Order: sequence, then C-alpha cells, then structure tokens
Amino acid sequence: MDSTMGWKQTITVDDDAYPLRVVQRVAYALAGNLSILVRQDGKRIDLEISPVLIAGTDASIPSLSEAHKLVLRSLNDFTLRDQIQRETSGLRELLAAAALRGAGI
Amino acid sequence: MGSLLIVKDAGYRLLPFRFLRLDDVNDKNILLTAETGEYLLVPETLLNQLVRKELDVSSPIYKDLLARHFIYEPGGHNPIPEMAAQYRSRKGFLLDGPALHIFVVTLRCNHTCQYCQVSRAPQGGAGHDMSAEDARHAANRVFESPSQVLTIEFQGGEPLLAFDCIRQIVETIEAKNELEQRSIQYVITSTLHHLSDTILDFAEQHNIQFSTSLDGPAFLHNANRPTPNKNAYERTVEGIHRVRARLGHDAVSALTTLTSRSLEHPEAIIDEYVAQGFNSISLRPLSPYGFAKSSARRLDYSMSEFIVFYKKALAYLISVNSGGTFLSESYASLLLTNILTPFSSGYVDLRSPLGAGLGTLVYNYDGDVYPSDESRMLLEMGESGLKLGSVRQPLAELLRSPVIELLLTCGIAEALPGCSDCALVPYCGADPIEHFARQGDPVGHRAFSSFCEKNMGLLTHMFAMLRDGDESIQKVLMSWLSRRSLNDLPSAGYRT
Repeated sequence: MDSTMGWKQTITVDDDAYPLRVVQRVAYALAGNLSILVRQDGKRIDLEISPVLIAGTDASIPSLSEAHKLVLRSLNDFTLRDQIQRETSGLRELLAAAALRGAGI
Repeated sequence: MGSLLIVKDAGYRLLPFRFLRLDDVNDKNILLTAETGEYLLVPETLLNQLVRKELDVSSPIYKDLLARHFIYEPGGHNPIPEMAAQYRSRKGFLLDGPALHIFVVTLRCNHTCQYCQVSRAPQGGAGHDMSAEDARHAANRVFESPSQVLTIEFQGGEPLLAFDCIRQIVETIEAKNELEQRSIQYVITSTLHHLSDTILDFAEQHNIQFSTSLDGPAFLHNANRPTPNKNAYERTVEGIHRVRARLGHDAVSALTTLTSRSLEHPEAIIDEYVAQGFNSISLRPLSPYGFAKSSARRLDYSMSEFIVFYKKALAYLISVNSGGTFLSESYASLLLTNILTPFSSGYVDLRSPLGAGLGTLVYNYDGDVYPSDESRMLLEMGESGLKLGSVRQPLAELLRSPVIELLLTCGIAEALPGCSDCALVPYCGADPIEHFARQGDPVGHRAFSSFCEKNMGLLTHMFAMLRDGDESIQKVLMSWLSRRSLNDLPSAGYRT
C-alpha cells in the first residue's frame, strides 16, 4: 500500500486463460480509472494496478476491492470478446466485401 | 476435438457481434449489437450460453438471435447477402460524396461571445470577406460532388454582413443547377440581427432557410452573447418572427449553445423553445475549438456535468411532449434513427468512416478548403495543418490531399482502439479532428475522450430508456424518431 497513491495491488493470471492481447485490452479500457502495468514472465502475467489520480478532477477513486472486481470482470469480458472474434474471424471482411460488390465497387 | 463436436452439435455458429454491460439495475443488462446494427438486450447468463453454444434452439430468443443476425445455421439460410444489403444501407452515405458544403462568407461579426467556436473579426474589419472570384470557384466545386442532394450552408462570423457574397453564390449555383438538376437546400446560419426586406425577398425567391442560435430566455442569451446594446435576445427573437411571417413557420430553426450557466437552467431553456413555437431543440455541449477553448476556464464544464444536464433536460422534455407539445431533441432523434432504423442519420459527427471531407467541405473566406467546420476553427487557433487546399483546385484533387489520407487512417471507428470492441460502434462515429483538438492525436485514447464519453453516455441512456421507459416515454421517443406529434403517431393493432 502506498499512502500517496491510494493503494496498489497485483493480479496474476495465466497466459493460457487470459492471453496478453486480452490483458492489454483490459489495461486500455480501464485506463481512465486504473493505471495497469503489465509484465509477462513465461506463462505468468502480472497486472500491477493502482488508481488514476488526476489533480483537479472530482472523479471518485475506486477502492481496492472495487478495482479487483472490475479488473476480473473485464478480463472475463475481453476473453469472451476474444473468443467471439476468433470464431467469427474473416466474416466482417466477407460482409464488407459483399456490401461493396452490391454497390458496384 | 471436444469443442469442435460441441459446435457441430449446437447446430449454430456465431456471426460477428459485440456486447456491452449497460448497468446492474435490470436483469437485461447486456446489450448485444450485430454488425448490421440490430440489437438485443439480454441477461448475462444468455450471453454466456450463446457463446458456449448452449442455447435451446426451440426458444424464442434463439429465433430472435437468428433473425437479427447474431447467429446462423450452417447449411441453412445464408445470411450474408441480406446482411450485406443492411450494411450497405447503413453506410450509404459513403457513396454520395460531400453533400454538405459550408461557405464561410465572412469572419466579421457584431457579437463578442466569449465561447465563440468559429472566431470572428470586427464588424467593420477589412480583409475578412470571401472574394467574388473565390466564391465562383467554390460554387464550381459543389457540382463536382456526385451527391444528388446538396446542402449549401452559409456561415461566419455573421454571414448576413456579407449578403452580396451569399447572393452571388446562390445565383451562380442556381444557374449551374438549371443543367445539373440537383436537389439543393440553402441554409443561412445567422443571429438574424441584420435581416432586411431585401434579404427576405431573396430568401423567399430561392427557398432559403435560416438557422439561428437561441440559448434560452433573455437573461441567458444576453449573458452568453454580448452586444453593445445588450439586446441580442430581443433582436434574435424579432428576427425569428420576421422570417416566419415572410417565409413560413418552419423556415427558421434554432440551436442552443450551453455555457456553464446554462447547465443550471434546463427547464427555462426548454420553456423558451416552447414559448417561441419551435418543434426541435438542440442541446449541444461547448466545442473545444476557437475562442471556446481559450475561455474554457470561465465557461467550460466537464462532459460528465453536461451528461447530467442532458438527462435532466431530456426527462423534462419528455414530460413536455407527453403533455401535448411536440418538441424533439435533435441529437436524441439522430441517435434513435441510428439505433432503430436500418439507415444512418447521416449526421457528420456520427459517421464511420468519418464525415469530415467525405461528407462535408468548408470553403473558408480566404479561399482555403477544409474538411469540416471544426478544422477551420482549429486554424483560428493557429493550427493550419488540416487544410485540404484551395477553392481553385478540383474536388478530386482536394480529396486526394494527404490530410484526407490521415483522417481516413484515424476515422474508421470499427478499426480504432477501444471502439473496435464497443457495442455502440454501429451507432457512433469517428471524430479524429476533435481528438486532435483535445488530445493532440487524431486517434486519441477512448478512456480520455470527451467525444466517447458523450456518445457512450447518451447512447446508453437511450438504450436504458428504450428498455425501461414506460409507454409514455416510448411514445415520445417514437414521435421524435418519426418527427410527428404524439397525436399523429399511428397506433399499433386494430382501431375500433
């Protein structure tokens, strides 16, 4: 715990369950509230998490437990999105190509 | 192999879709959106069942997911042709070319608004009007666009201070249109303080509409828009009456500019629009451009404060409509069009690929051409990098500008970080110019983007109202979508 920064915690995940690309998307999506430093060592990925403190804003700072819940939920949501993306890979391009063909392009 | 067997046994496959958690107050807290813009609100358990292929194929929700293009059955009906047709409808604006042509005929203005987003020059200042030669060139550019429907908008400064230039442009365009036969709408964006019978005669002759700014009742409008005689409100209202008396009630529309003072008075602003007989109000936050940015310390507010204001104003507006007065909020109407119809509203800010340059061109008073009003506003802040070229260059050359290439690389929302995962992307847009203005980077970071915060806030509010709103709210939203008063809305089912 760092008293000047509110709090700090680390969540460790396995790359097989939560690949780096998923962890990076979580770090990006939560960047407005949480600062997440990502470190990978083999299959092990550490997410070092602290709240974002911006002087002069009235944004409330998430507590340690709220942040923990938010990160876990986001990891699972982005894993699901990753699964949908992989399973439907190529269909968006197919759709766009068909739409353009229909417009004579 | 195990997972492959499950997929095969399930009998269905996924189509591309996105999801978003709306809130935790309702069981149906997951918004699913298909690539075509169709949507469903479902419980979280269903999302997991859907992806794990555990859906009951005889359930009504399965049929909904099939019909709305979230899933398909291999060997069954091929969904791609109809999805492609829907996708083409939603992105139809792309095939039209620039349809909105903005002529900045002068920078001169009689107001000294602190928040002014477009910059201005003194009323009697020289060298701030569009030359006759540049006006002629710009009129030629208009017809190089393939769009059969064109809007010609005159802006300033105060464009009526350069009425001769407006006259020249309209007459040149009308003469060319004898042959071209395009559908053309003219709009003058004005305070209406400089109306004359000559101007009204001309407007009547050429079916010109007016768009003005009305910031609320006199105390708000006059505080926002200082003039030497402190009577901006009275003169604008007088102008509204003159336009209506001459050209008809709907020949003038109004936009609201909201300062921090305005945020305290949502009801008073709406009541003023009711009193003036408008049927549409536009509640828009201050832009980050022009003088608005430099005076931000005094006048600005956070986007979260705007969203709180907007929701409060919308609730009041719905109660006003339920009471029998038709007054729609224009941004809500645009969002509803994007959500509930197969078409895009066409609104420039809510397009992907972006609207700047591809849908809009701005001809500045000095003969330079910009992809949007916002980019020429950045010019007045000292940033000239977004210029496409000169009115003397053909449109095809302007659209091959490196600026367009840059904007396109940052202007397709479906391919942007953050947006590519967002379930709201079918209804939203890309705005690289705003991100450049606010973050110094045309891609921008969604977590710190006011554009994203605003559209996320308002779109999720729309979905929450569509999900949770009672019958009176639903009816008002439908009346805004169809631009009809509640009394004119068709009833579902049989009438006795």
